Amino acid sequence: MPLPGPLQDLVAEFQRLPGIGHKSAQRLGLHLMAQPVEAIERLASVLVSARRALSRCSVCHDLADGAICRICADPARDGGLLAVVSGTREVLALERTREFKGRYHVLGGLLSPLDGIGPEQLNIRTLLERLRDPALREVLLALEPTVEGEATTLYLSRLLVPMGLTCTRLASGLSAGAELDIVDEVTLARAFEGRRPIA
Amino acid sequence: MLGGNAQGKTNLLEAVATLATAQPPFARKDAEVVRFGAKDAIIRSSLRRGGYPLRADLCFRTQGRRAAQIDGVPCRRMVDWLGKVTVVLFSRADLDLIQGSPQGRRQMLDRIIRQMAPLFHDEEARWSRLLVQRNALIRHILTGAATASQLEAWDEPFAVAAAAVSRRRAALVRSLAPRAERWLEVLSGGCEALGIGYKPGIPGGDESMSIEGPEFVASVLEALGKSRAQDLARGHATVGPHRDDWLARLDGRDAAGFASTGQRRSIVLALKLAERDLLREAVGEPPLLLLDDVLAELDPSRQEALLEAIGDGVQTFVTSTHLSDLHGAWRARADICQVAPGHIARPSVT
Ligand SMILES: [Zn+2]
Repeated sequence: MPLPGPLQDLVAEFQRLPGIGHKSAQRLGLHLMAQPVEAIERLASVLVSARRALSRCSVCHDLADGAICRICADPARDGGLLAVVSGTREVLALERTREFKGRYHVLGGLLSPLDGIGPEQLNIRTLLERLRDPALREVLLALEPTVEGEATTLYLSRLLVPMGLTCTRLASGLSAGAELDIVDEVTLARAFEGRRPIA
Repeated sequence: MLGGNAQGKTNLLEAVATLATAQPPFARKDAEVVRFGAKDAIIRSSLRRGGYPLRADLCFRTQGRRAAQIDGVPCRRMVDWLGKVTVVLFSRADLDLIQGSPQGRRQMLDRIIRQMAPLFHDEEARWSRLLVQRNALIRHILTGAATASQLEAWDEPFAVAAAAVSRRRAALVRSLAPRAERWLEVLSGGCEALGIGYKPGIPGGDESMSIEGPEFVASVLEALGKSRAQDLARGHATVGPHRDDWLARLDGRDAAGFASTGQRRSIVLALKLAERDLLREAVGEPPLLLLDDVLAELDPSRQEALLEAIGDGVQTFVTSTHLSDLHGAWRARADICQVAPGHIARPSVT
């Protein structure tokens, strides 16, 4: 039996979200349509206001609810250690380990010629500006152990190492092809402790 | 399995072969094995390993990931799946192995490695992803959307991944070669001497090249540097495992050019038997033998030699269009089934 048109549209929208297949999309759609209109209005307005309230931190490019994100604004964070990550998911993964006390720089992706992403499409220019900070001791390239993460690590290390900075990367305890945000926290914490310098 | 063409005989053998690697042996995408209009394709199998019954089921989807279960328990990693079913697939296409394309010779190796090395699935995926990404970058450089210096970030991971794949193949050829050489001696009654060597896909790469050590990564990296102008001119990588090859020599001469059709078939047969030996040693149980439409192409003496080499206790699936293609002992030892579209039955006459 085909779904009523409006419900079909809704299911189609859900299916475009990451990790949502047809079955989950349908379940979400049916569940929501069984709720009172007020609940749906609340959900819709939360969605819209969340999106409106969030922007990119002007320092690290992570999601922020002001001009500067909470980590960049936190004076307790170690300004001498900077972790370069691809996105917010990776910031959250590293934060969950509670091992990393430094600050972040979010690239906004990884090098991927296939998707038309080159160095210009990533937040590299602002990274180079931040590296002029004399308080900086170490840059940790905490990128995914995928093909794209590795190429990006290599690209950045070729820029950074000649600048005389201590450059490290996560220990490769991560299995090949594993994505950083699904690696369990213990493994990631170990990977962080065992980070090694890039010559 | 007797039946006319396009009745599903090959389908059946491919399903069995698919159990070995959780990957269809010939399809490039999972969606290709799903019937048109359907959402998924399921293979259910009951087998016996080391005397114990086992159920192994696979599901391929037009969209989404494949799923695998052993005795109803989902397998998350290749290591959990591999080794339950091993096969040697011998099909008509293999008869052209010696004089056919290098691609066919590479695929023959890869299908064996996939059954033996769980990590090879990751290595292969990594390597082909790098090839695609690096080729995309080469195209961007050609259109001026990227600079040639950006290749440097890709060359090193490319070389490491390329070396990993080439190493596996070279190691396989090294263990396959003496076994195949021995089998050809048996098949030819000691008259012909076979030699098999691996040629890595880099300029100057030959059988004497050491592929094991770290210096091979350096060689690939160096070759990438040297071939950069050529890569840019052609618009794709001209160096790497996609150029690997192996060759067979008969009495010291290149078998592709000098051997007769019959000799080439004997070489292929020797290779298949070597593959069988190798898998049996690796897994501890003989693999299933899948002979797809190939028996008719072997003359009575080669059929007989094959049957003798297989020996007892090896389950063998044979497909053929005519019962008369099977010679004496083969027919006497077979359970014969008739394959019609969508079903398999014992025929009323034997
Ligand atoms: Zn920030």
